[in-house]
Amino acid sequence: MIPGLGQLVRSGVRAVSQYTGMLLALFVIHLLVAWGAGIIIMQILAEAFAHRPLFDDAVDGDLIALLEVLGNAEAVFFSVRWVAVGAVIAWVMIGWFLAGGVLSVFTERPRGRTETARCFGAGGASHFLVFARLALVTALYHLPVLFLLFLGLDHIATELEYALTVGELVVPLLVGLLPAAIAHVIVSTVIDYARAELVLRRPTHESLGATRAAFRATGYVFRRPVALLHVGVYWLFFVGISLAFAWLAQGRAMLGGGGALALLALRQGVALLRLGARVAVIAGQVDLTATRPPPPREVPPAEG
Amino acid sequence: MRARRALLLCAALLVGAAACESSLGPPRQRPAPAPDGVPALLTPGPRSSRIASYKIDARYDAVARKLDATAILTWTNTGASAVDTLPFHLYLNGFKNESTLFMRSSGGRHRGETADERAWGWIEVSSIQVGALELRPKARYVGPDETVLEVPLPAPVQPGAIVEVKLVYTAQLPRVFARTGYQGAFAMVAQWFPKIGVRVGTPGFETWHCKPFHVNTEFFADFGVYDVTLTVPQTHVVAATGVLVAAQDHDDGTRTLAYRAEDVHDFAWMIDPYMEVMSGVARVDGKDVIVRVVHRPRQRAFARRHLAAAIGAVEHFSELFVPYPWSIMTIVDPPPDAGGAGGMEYPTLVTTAGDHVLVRDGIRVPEYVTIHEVGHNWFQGILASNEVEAGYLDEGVNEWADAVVMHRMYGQKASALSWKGWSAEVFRLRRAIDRDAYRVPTPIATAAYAFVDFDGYASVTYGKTMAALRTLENVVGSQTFAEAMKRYAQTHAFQHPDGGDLLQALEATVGEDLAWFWQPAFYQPGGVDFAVRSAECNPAHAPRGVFGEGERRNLVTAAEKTGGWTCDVVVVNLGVVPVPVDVELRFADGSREVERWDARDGSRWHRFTFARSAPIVEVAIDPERKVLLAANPLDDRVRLTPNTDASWRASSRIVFWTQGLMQAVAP
Repeated sequence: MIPGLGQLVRSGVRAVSQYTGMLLALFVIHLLVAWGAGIIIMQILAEAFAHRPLFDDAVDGDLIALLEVLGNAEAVFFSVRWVAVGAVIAWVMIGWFLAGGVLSVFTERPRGRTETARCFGAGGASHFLVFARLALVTALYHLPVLFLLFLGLDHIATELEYALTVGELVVPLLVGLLPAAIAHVIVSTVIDYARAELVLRRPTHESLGATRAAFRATGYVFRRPVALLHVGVYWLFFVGISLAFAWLAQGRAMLGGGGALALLALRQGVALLRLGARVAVIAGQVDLTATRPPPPREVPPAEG
Repeated sequence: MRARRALLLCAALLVGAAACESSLGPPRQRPAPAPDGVPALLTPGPRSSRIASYKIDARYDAVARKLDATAILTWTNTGASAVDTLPFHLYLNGFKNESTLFMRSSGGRHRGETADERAWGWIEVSSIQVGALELRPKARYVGPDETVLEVPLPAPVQPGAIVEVKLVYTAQLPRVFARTGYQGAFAMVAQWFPKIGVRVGTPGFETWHCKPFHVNTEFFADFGVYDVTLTVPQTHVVAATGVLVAAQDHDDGTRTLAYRAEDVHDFAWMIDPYMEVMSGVARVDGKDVIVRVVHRPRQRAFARRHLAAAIGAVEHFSELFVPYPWSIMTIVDPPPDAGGAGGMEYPTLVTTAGDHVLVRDGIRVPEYVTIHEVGHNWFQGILASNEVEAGYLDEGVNEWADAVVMHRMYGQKASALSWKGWSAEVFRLRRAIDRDAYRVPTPIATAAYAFVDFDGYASVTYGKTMAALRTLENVVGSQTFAEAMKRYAQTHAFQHPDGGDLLQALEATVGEDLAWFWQPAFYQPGGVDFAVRSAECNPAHAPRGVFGEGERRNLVTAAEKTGGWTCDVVVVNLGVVPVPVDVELRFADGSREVERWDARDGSRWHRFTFARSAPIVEVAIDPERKVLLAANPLDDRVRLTPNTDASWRASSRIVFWTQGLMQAVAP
């Protein structure tokens, strides 16, 4: 029995509620990486602007002060940008470990914190290298996404430049970016299912490597559109909650120490929700992968 | 299966939505427009010496975007020396090929628009007659291209004499990328007729000013009267300089429109089959000036904004300088894909820009463009300075005036922006955008074509000039400065003022020699560059050491602290322009003290020493941001003890964005 979209979503939510400790641990790691970069960024900014009150005005919403600061301290913001990029790259690499851990937990369904932690650590460690290989193999998959993105942007550039109404802005944007967005969903779904199969089947099918898993996942994703829809729903949630937060936060000054803390809490709440949704999607993917037929075994040639 | 259907439905909806693009349909027959029924000038009677007047009869081919025309120039020699040649600008030849000075100096690009190599523009004069004499064979191009045609006269034109020249020509419009040309059915027809140069120089030794067309240079011409008849398709709407005096339909589907403009130095027009007109009235000296915005239907919402801005501009410029002298002000809002035509000024007719969905109400980009272009009717339209040799006198002075007008219209704090809690003042916003102006190695008072590059020309001529004038205004006082600018405008209306005339008007009103500012600000690269070099406070105590002599000698090794503080602050100006400036010192007990550093003596640094009950916590040079001519305002305010609160807040925000990116790519 192949689960439908609703079942996948529900089983994901159940799995997350069952392993809240794991989710929080993931989030702590996420925070450590993000705020590791954040501390460096803070130090760079403080070094440049701790004696410059104009920077305070810029942060507090004075648009012209912001332009003046950005324009007169380009090197500072260049450094900040690269620290942020470094954090993203670090998170991608750590993600190979974390994804292995999460998938192992949802595959083995351990009980108790200690057992879950053991399963998570062992799964992360044992799959780190194969996920790294998978990332290399599927790097090529991202090329069509980039191609479609640039093609789409190039195609809609003129229409965006001449847009006079919201419709004239939004429709070309959707049309121009949709192919790349769909391609991205496909590629990320393929990678997800390749990872899930590697975790689920590798213990019994040692010959299943990253390349084979990627090819098998590609075929599978196109045969099972529910897999794509499932990930598509996640991306809608991700974009929706991000935009909703941006919309609600816009124009609301949260000044002072209390305001800053409240804003920090809200932002991290949004980040936690997005991460929770991602983990729920992974849980659903494990369920769906379990219904897939295993890869054929390679029979060793007979001796003699 | 359901999932597959849902995917297909989503795709179909999006493709369908994309296909819903409105079409303007084929051009339709338009009734002949009624003549405007107003005189060209609000108050009839010549305002200028009317040196160069034209009668032009042109027929427009809407398919080939070509004009066949005859122009009769009546030129008066108002100089003290005889004239034996007449030079004519043939601006359209600047778009003739890649070897023209315009194309070489622009690289085929102008304000973000690119020339279309399949749609060149040119003008060809087939006949030049003075009396019955045909002079075309003797005419020759002078300069690096074919944008200046010099015609030797059979006999010199003596001082005070008048010569009438008949020119027959054909003009091919380029696809628009630099002010003039067509895009689809729309055409902005400017720089479209042979235009005589201007005699300049000391009486008795005048020479022609008729430079080849360069990307940085705009225009310079004598005032005159223009009587222009345009024969165009009956399907098309025309907007032109001056007033419409007659319209006559012909059986061949064409229509002849007759326009008259008085005391103007240029004539431009627009033609398009889809335009509609929105009208309003500006009150000037108790009289009505008709203000029109000509626009495509889908730009109606922006046309309302342009109209309100134009009416305000006509009224405020009239109050601030001299009353608008003409009966009509027309604003052409080009279609979005004809951006190359936007943002240009001609007498009584300007083109605007800034229409975009993201430019919401309160983001005053369309208003700013309209006010700027309408403002050019004073700074170049009425005060016809030489845009080629002194671009700052129209662009820069106009920028300053635009900002003053926007302050009056929208309030100072939100003169440039008032949207979703964001606000911006136009002078400071321009300074923030034009910060590169202080790194340009060319001073303000430089011929447009002699600038290091187009970006340098633009940032210095527009932004730096505005900042310099605003800085001077803040030094001498707004009221005095406004009086000076009014005096300049009234004294030199319908003449060709130069930088000296402006300075003279300012000095005469202010009552002091302004060379201390004018010379470095306008004739040297760079600007003001303030910084706090050092700021230090130490606990004050009675002096230690050896005091007195002989038996009275006393050694003081330990002195009691007085409880006060001794503070020492050094501020510097590393720029080239000395400006008097306030320095605000903020103390730990919350008190503030403002000191004046009057750098007009040429000093480059100044030391302030204080004895106070509390130490200094912050030094702010120019706390009220009066010195706009400053390169880097980041160094103008310094806090003595570091505060990282803002760095934490900014980091928190950047980390949240980074988290979004991280979660979008992994795990």
